[in-house]
Amino acid sequence: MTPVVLAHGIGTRGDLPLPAWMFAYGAGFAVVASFLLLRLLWPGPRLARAAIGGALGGWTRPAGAAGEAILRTAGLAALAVTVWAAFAGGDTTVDNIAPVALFVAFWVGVQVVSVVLGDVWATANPLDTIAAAIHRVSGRAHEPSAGADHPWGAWPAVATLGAFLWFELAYHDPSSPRAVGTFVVLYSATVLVGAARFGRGWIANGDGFAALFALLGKIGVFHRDDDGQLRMRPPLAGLTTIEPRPGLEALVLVTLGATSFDGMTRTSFWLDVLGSSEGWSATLINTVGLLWVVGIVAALYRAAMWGAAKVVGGDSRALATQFLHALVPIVFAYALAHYFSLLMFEGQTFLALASDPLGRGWDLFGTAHWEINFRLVTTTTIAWVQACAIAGGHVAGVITAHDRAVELYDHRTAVASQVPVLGVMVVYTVGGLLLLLNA
Amino acid sequence: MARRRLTLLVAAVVVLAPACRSEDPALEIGEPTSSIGATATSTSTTPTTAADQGEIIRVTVASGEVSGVGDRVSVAVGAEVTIIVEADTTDRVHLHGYDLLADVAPGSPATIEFTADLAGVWEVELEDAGQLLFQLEVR
Repeated sequence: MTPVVLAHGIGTRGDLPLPAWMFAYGAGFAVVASFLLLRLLWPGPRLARAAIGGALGGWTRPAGAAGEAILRTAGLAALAVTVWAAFAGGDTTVDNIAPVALFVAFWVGVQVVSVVLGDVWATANPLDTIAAAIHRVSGRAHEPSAGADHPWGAWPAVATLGAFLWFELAYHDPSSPRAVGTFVVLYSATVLVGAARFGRGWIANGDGFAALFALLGKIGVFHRDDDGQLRMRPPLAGLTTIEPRPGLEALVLVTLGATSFDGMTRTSFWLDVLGSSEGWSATLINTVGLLWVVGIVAALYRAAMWGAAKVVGGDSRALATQFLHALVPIVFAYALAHYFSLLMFEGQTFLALASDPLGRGWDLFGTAHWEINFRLVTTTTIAWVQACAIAGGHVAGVITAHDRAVELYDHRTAVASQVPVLGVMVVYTVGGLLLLLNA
Repeated sequence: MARRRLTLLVAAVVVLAPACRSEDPALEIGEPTSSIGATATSTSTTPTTAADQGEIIRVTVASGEVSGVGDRVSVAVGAEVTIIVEADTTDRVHLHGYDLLADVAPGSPATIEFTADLAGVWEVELEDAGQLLFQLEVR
């Protein structure tokens, strides 16, 4: 069994602590930028109007249809190989592709792809492809939207994504290929049962990954409209089109809290808390820690919304829904800051294992002999990516929240309402940097 | 009015943008550009510093308890490092990243000598027991 240190499911390398001056610069930047932006940003809403974007030409429709077939096939193949390797391949992360496929290529990789290329996962998701096939065979409704309007909203996504985050960050042996295989099978079965029962649209709210990747896809510039036409819009504009529904706030806050917990597990404070505990007692301590950090992150957001409600005289629950989309860039910024080096280094392991997924000495693509080149990116570059990601996520969050405030209120009230909102964002940003400082 | 705001916004970005340039002498580390992984015999291309005279890290494991070092040991990039592990069990000591292994047995300590030329935080563990000895911070 592997010890639960340098957590995030996989990897035995940790990032160097952020240099102290970089922490100071980043924290100062967050505060100054917040109040400068508050004074400088536009006085009327702009993002919602721009969200539809410009069409990218008729050629994108046939290209999209061909691309869809390729994406669906690739998604199914990736799921099949991962499950097959997990149960039939080697026992460790170096001779079995399943752990690095789940924790690095899929979980971190698809987050980056979603922001850069849009919600590609909605098409590539093998669970959606399987659900479509089930419904076609059974003759039941298989329109993509059937079941999307369940009154539980995004709560099933919170449960399934929460289960993954627990497995990755709290469970004591997440890098075991068999455990990964068991998790993937249970996860897929749970989502597919829901889809079979309620319709294919259930996946958008029942599959936590699909729900989160769809949110992240709203940050970027590419999207497809209802006719399948590819369009381009300004960054962040898509966030205004997130449909409010029950559980969405929990989905965002749980993800943000889990990444923060991952950062905390690498501090010497948490090593002391864990002590020499291992196995299920380590799982228990990690579970408490995970819930604790998620609780803090959520309480901070609710407190800020309570403050904003005092200023504008509204209901804090309504405000929590209205400003939630502004946290989505921060969720991605945290993920990028914490997992950039993992993607760069363990991503190389993934490419090597792609040639020999079961650890049987194959060399399908000629990459099997690759070893991790730890000089691909320097520690200096990693530190800059981390600090810039956190600072950039902060600015994106401030802009998005401001745009919503000037849409809802007159300019004076809008600016006043943003003081608590900026406050919680500064706390998230400084907190995120603090975790990197004490890595 | 809108134009003035835009000008101010651009000015703010220009002023704050240097936060995201990627070179700073205070942080630049003279890392070798070779893509060959470090081995116990590799020589460092980093300029000589005081740390090059050698760092010796001694760890003792008795009844599962690690003593001799804290959770994390910090060394400078390019330092010649010797890790000596005494244990009351038979196992292998594994330094991750550098991927160096040495056998250890009661009365026969493991010794790993290497040049610390890969920056980062690396685990040193008793491989078979899966026990973390310490984290080696190379910076």
